[in-house]
Amino acid sequence: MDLDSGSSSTVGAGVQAIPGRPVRRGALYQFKQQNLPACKPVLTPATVIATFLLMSLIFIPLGLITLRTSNSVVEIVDRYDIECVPEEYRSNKLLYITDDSISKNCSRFLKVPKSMRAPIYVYYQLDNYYQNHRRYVKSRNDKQLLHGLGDNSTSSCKPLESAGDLPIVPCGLIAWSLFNDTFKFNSGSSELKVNRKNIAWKSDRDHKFGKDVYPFNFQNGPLIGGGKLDPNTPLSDQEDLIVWMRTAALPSFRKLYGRIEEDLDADDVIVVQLMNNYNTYSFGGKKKLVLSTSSWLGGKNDFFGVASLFIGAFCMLISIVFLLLHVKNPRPYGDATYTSWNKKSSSS
Amino acid sequence: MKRYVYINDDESSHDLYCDNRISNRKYTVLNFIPKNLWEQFSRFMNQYFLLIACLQLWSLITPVNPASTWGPLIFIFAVSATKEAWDDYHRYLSDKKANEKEVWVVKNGIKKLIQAQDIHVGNIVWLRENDEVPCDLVLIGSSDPQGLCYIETAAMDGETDLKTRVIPSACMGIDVELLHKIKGVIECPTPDKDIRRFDANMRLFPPFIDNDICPLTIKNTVLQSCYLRNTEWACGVAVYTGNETKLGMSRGIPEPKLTAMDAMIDKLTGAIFVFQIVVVMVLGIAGNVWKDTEAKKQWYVLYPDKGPWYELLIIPLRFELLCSIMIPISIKVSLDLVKGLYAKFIDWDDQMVDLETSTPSNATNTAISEDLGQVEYILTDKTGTLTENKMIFRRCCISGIFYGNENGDALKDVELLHAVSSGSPDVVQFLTIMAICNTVIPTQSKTGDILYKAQSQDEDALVQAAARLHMVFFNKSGNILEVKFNNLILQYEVLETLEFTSDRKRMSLVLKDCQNGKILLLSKGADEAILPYARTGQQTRNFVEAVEQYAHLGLRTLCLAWRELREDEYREWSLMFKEANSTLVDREWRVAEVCQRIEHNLEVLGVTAIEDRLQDGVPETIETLRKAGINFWMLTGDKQNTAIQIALSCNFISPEPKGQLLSIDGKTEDEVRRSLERVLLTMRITTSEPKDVAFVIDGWALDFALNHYRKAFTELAILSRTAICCRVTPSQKAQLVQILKSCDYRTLAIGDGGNDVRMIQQADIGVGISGREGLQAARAADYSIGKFRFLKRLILVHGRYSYNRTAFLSQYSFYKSLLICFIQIFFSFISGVSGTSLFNSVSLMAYNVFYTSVPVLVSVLDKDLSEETVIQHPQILFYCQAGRLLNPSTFAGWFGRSLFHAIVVFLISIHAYAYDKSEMEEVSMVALSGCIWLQAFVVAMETNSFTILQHLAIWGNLAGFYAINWIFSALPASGMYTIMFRLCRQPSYWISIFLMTAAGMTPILAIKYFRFTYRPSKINTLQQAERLGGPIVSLGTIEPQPRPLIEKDVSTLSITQPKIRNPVYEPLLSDSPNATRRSAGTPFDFFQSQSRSSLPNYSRNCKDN
Repeated sequence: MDLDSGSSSTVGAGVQAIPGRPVRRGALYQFKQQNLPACKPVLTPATVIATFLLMSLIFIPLGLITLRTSNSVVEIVDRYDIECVPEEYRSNKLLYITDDSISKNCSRFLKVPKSMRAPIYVYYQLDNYYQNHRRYVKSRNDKQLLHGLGDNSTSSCKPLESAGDLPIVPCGLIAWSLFNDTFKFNSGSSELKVNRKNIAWKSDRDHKFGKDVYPFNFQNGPLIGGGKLDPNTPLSDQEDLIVWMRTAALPSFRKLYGRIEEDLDADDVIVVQLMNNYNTYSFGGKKKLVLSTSSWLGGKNDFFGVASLFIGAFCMLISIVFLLLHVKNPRPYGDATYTSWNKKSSSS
Repeated sequence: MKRYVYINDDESSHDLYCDNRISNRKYTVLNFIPKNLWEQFSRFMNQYFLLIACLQLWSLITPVNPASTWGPLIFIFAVSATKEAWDDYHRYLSDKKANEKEVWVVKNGIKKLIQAQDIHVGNIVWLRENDEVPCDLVLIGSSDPQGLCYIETAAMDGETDLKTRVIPSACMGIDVELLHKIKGVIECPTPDKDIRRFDANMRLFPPFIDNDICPLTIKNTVLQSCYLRNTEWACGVAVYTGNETKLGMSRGIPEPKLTAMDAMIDKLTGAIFVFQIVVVMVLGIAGNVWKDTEAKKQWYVLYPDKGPWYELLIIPLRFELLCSIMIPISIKVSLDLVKGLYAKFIDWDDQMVDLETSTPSNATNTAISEDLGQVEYILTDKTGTLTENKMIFRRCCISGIFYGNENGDALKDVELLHAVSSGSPDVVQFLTIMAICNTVIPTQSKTGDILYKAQSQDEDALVQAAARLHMVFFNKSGNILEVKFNNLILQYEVLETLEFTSDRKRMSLVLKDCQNGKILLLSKGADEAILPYARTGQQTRNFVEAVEQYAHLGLRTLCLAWRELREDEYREWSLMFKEANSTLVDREWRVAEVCQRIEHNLEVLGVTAIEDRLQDGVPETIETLRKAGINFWMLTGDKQNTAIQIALSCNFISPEPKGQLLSIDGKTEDEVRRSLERVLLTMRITTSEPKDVAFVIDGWALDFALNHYRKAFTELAILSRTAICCRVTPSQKAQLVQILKSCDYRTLAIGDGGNDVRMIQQADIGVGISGREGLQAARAADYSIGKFRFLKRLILVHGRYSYNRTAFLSQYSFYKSLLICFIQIFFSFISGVSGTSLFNSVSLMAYNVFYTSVPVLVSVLDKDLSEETVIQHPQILFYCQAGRLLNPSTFAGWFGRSLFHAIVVFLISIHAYAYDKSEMEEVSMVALSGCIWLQAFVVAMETNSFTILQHLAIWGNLAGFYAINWIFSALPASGMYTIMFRLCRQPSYWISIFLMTAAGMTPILAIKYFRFTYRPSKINTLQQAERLGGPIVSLGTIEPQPRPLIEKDVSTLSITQPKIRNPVYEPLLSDSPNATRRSAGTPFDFFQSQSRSSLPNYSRNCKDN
């Protein structure tokens, strides 16, 4: 939108002035007469073409910068949900995951493509997992999470509101389906330390999850969903739960598992010891382990760069098209008098 | 049905008739809430919102907190209920004031002070000077020895002059003391609302007078809400009380008018509703399918194997609620608000203040300003509307001699002055008739000047002129009229008054010349009502010529005549007259017939010519509005010739070579039919020619045309851009409006007098001129203005701006609702079609109530073109008339825009905030911010003129959005604790917003620019011209003279850019609303073919003017 304020004018004051009319020029008076000074921007070729050119000049560099930033992020993505199922269960993964007697241990070898600077974020990624499903997203009780067992009704936690007489703490589907795969990292012979503290938002730990709320009856019911919680740790310290309960808006999402606070060199091989507990096999979901560095834009995301470049190119194209139109075809009606018109408008 | 009123009888009629309690209230305290709610819920929109709000109470299906619908709903209901309650409370207060007013009433023979509401039918009510009349009374006594009293009827009919009322003959001379004990019976009709008729009889019981039946007319009554003036006291019998008085019966709540725009908005709402239902069904089915195939496998969702019976309905209902915001709940409130402001702008407009009387314009009806911009037909009254209604005696013709022809003012004509001073008998008689043959009441002011209280402006002009010619009518006491002529005092006693009615078109007095005892009949009236009754043998050719000559000059003519009556002739006639006057049935007709018997054999004295000057600026106004594509019809009670002359002089019709006037006349049905068909045929032929064709019809022919040839006449009405209807009655005026309305034209009726009220109420827009004929028209009208020329500004400036602004506001309201709704729909596809709401309740509610409604409200200040440009190029009004700015195709544009923006916002939010950042509340706020930014830029893009207020609202609102969200982010209890702080720290948030705005706005800017430059509408062309011609327009501030300047502007414009006119002018004319209507005018195709086949041979052009 170009604001070409060339013709700013106080309109209409005098043209039909009735002689003898009291001359009042207060702002309120002007408002009442609909005569407030106004600027009337007009879309002239010059301003419009310039605007588009300017936009492209902003967006193309912006696209290049963000693309570069995104490329500077090193990311290792490893899908492990299929590989970690032993060969004999490949045809019936559901049996494998639901049978507790089968060992869920699994090892993965990750090669670091480029050197990665600390902190290196460890995420687990779930695909085709609808944390935003209406039944799921509503099935929680924020008051209970903060205050614990009170007189709060837990009806919003349906269908998992209570076990026996007491409400489950924490109640609801989200907590019940807590992700419970675990990862251990070894680089060569030494163990890579994964810092699992401060992975949740500080505001959540301080104000959303109670310091004296203990999950005393969690996952005790007949239906076992996902992970269990340590009944002796208050909710505010159960950071995996807090991270999990920040529901994702998309069916593919990554959640922070921890941070590796060591640099990794290129071509290092990392051995991941993982417990493949979580069931994504029943609905065809995928599980991935992600190691990623970070930039000022966050993780690796080419979208900003591509979109900016696209918009920049589009603006450039439009400005060229309009420029050509303006130069080649200043008289759209083939009307001679339009020449004078357009000359004037372009010069102004 | 008759009503018998027993005078002073406290018992008999108490229960029969209601008491005098007036009630204009719509509600009582008890029924207010149910009745008001019922009324509000009879609107479809409200029912819809209530249903949505109720469904939201079911927590299983509601995506958001029910408060997000209940809040605004209750707010909207509370606002309109409060408004109703406030109005009703004021009605109650004014009723109470009227009801508790204390009046003197005779009870058991003693005068008592009681409250007005306790008056019963039959009570005798005493009034003092300047008292308001509490109910309809029949006079029985007055302080005046002749039994006269004067009343002011302004509150009833708006006429400000005093009227005389007289006590019935039977009560004449009854002593004041006896009046307390008077008994009798009045036989009167059941209550009706005709304030000009009261046909009743009275009989007093012995011992009062003999047992005679005494006729009563409206002259014997004083009606509720009148004031007693110039009379010490008067008393009367209550005949109609409470809401049964003539005023109470005519009271009624006028039907609310719906503008074409409101109808269009309702239609579009209906379309959106259908669209919503389709979306809901599709998503509902998809959701159920997904649930059965996918969700059952998603173990963490824990769907039960077998749900309740209504399980299939849950998902569709959820989507219904999710999509319910498609229909913006705020649109009604916003529209009411801006409409109120449009009306205020009209009230405030300094350029529409009548400086003579300093009356500002006033919009009584605040809801229909947009219609002003869509007017296609203006039906105007002539007298007092186009003309000043300030009558000035200009010329006369006495016994064949023309006076005043040389200098245009008979009062300064030496010959006439000479004739007066020499005492020429014809001239003196002529002056006498001018002075006394009327119902004027002379009053002497304290300084000794004589003031005339006249009911008609013509009579006033005649009496004033006579006085200037030394025939001064200076006193009227009872039946005695006193005239001073050259220091000679002449007395006349009025014996009978034969009143003026619009059917008779003349009035006469029978009076006795006190000087010589002769009985005279003096008459004055329209030429066709006087000249046929001239004495046999008298040559009336002179007078006919005079009348024609004067009519050509646009003057109003009256013929004056007299004759002497023989004593016996008078006495015989007088009996008949009395009898006719006391008939109950068809009295008016009977009286007219009796009058006819004496009004013949007249000695015609001459013709007076009265000028009624055109108001300032009438021709220019008509020309400008005509250029704007508005068709004019003139409906007048005046003569055909006068009407045509006035029409010529005010640009209404063009003179011969350019224009053509076709006349429809005829005395019989057949003649009228043939005439009508001839005109119709000519019209059809000439529609292709660039010629101004108009037709003229008089009331007589119109009667046939309306009753028997309605179809043909309707077709004529559509073909003809101009028409003159003369000698039409008020109901015919209303019928003509009805015809045009039935062809789906927007009509505006403008008038100033009581005879225009029906037309004004019937038309889509009624405009009243608060002029000299009282305020009756102005009061019934939707708009009242001081002068006809303000109509130009009212339509071109206020009407046009209102239309443009509402068009933007309503479509924008849908745009922003659809925008957020589309995002919700898209989100449902990535949330398992389960009906999850991306946005939280607070955001959804605030989005509609705060974030998006504030910036758009200041669009009431937007002006696409300056006022001067619009006045100079009135053709631009066509865009409003044809509804170019709000119709399904423009709406489709907005629909597409909201779809496009929703896609942009959604795609960018989910891609920019993917994977590790895909936190629900963050994504939701990113998308919401994108919507807010986009809508701010959309408003900015669609605003044509930015005042400081617009900048404040648009950019201030954006700042307000962040402020509100920061506050919410600071509250731990709110769902979005710290979210906005986190986002505002992220560069990716700002880049996303930047991307969304750019991606959303650049294509729109490109399209807008392309259209503006290479496919400009006429509005765009003018905007460009305005920008280039800025200095020319602003020249106006220097020049003091208004009108020449405008002409100069036009000429300078056309010299420097000679061809601007072309793109602006020609296409507008070729696709004028008529042309499009005609091609689509299917209703008349049938009739056309029929009439063509039946009248193949008519080619004769019938025009006689």
